[in-house]
Amino acid sequence: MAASPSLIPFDQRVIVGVADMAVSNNPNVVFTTYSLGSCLGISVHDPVARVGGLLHLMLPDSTIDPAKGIANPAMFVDTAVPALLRAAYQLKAERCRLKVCVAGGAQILDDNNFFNIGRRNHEALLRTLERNGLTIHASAVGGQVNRTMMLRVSDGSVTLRISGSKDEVPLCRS
Amino acid sequence: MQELDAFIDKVKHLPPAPRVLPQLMQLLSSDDADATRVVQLIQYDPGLAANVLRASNTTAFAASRRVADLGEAIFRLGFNTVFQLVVAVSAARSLRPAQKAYGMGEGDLWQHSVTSGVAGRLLARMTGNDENIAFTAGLLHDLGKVIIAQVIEDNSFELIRTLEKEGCSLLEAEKRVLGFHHAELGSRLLERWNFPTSVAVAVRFHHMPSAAEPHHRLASIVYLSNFIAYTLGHGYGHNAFAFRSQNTVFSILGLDPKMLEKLVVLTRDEFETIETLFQIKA
Repeated sequence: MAASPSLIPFDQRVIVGVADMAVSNNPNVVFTTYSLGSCLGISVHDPVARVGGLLHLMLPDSTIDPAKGIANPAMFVDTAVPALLRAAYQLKAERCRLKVCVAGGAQILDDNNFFNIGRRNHEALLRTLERNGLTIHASAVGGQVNRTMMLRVSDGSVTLRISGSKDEVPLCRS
Repeated sequence: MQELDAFIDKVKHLPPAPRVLPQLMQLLSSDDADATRVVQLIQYDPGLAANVLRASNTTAFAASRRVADLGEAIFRLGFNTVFQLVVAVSAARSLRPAQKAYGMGEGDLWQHSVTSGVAGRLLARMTGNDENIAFTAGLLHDLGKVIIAQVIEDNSFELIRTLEKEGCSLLEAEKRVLGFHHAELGSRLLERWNFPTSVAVAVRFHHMPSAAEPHHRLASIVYLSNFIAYTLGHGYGHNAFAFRSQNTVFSILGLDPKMLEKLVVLTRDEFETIETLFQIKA
């Protein structure tokens, strides 16, 4: 039988939409999510199992629409984070090795307003991670900007691009 | 106002005036609106007619037989949808291109505008206001940005530099750099195009709705629609969140602030159901 042709490694770019998530153990995969305003982007990575996942959630709490939380768990913090962790664990990631990075949570100006969904998202995330025994390794949260977040599954490096700036900045190095 | 007119007159490629729209608004608000008169208005604009026919044959409205007659298309879609489609087609040419001064790529402002229109329609329905007017005001609220972006494209980062240095809102940065802001400019253009006063006033005050009396309810709807569109991640530019909070919009509209997150979800659902309808062919 002829040997399989050897493949040159290439980046397999996967876009994660708003209120969506993806997990992979394919080292070629680079996850990207755009338009993180008040939404939160959350990446998880296990360097030993080489498993990475990226989530783009919108709102803090599924109790406003429990049916939606079931149909589309990636929309809310309380349903999205457990779903992301479950998916990563199914690919043999282990909690004690998981590196969690967070970006987004933009706010409009002025504190103490009814519109602080970005802050409520972040607060809900901290509570949910704590319940799951996880801490945040690196984060870039708040401000008035919109961010693009990228996770490289091969090494777990996370980079950000902020609208208005041409450069990508590292959030978490491999 | 002279300053705004002078600025508008300086622009080389002003968006085309949507001639049909003010007439259609007048027709639909009168008691004797009938399909024949609506057909008369839109049949001579090939872009409008084609899009109305296309929409009537999309999945949401399609029956077993394809519609090729404008009158039947209007009957199938209903006056409200036809009206909103005409607003969208009229605005698409202006709102589609990239607005570099604001860091928006091609289609970004368009997506933000359509989402705001859909949110406006939903809010109007919930609060007993006119859906068509709210859709129009929501869709056109950032028209002024199109004009500004044409003039200051070369020094596009001046606005952002000012905004970040001073920690101010985009509106305040525009006022400092240009002497006026996009809401004033868009509103003036709508006045020149003979749009109803309510729409022009709501656009002018969409960042400070309580100052828009007697149209403060419509202005509040547009403020909330703008916020909801950003929360959905639709059509950001640089520093999209650099605007002031206006807590009073909830009391003006009689809405519980706790409803806000639910409104975001409802707008997303509504947007998804009509997305194909507004995939307008220019």
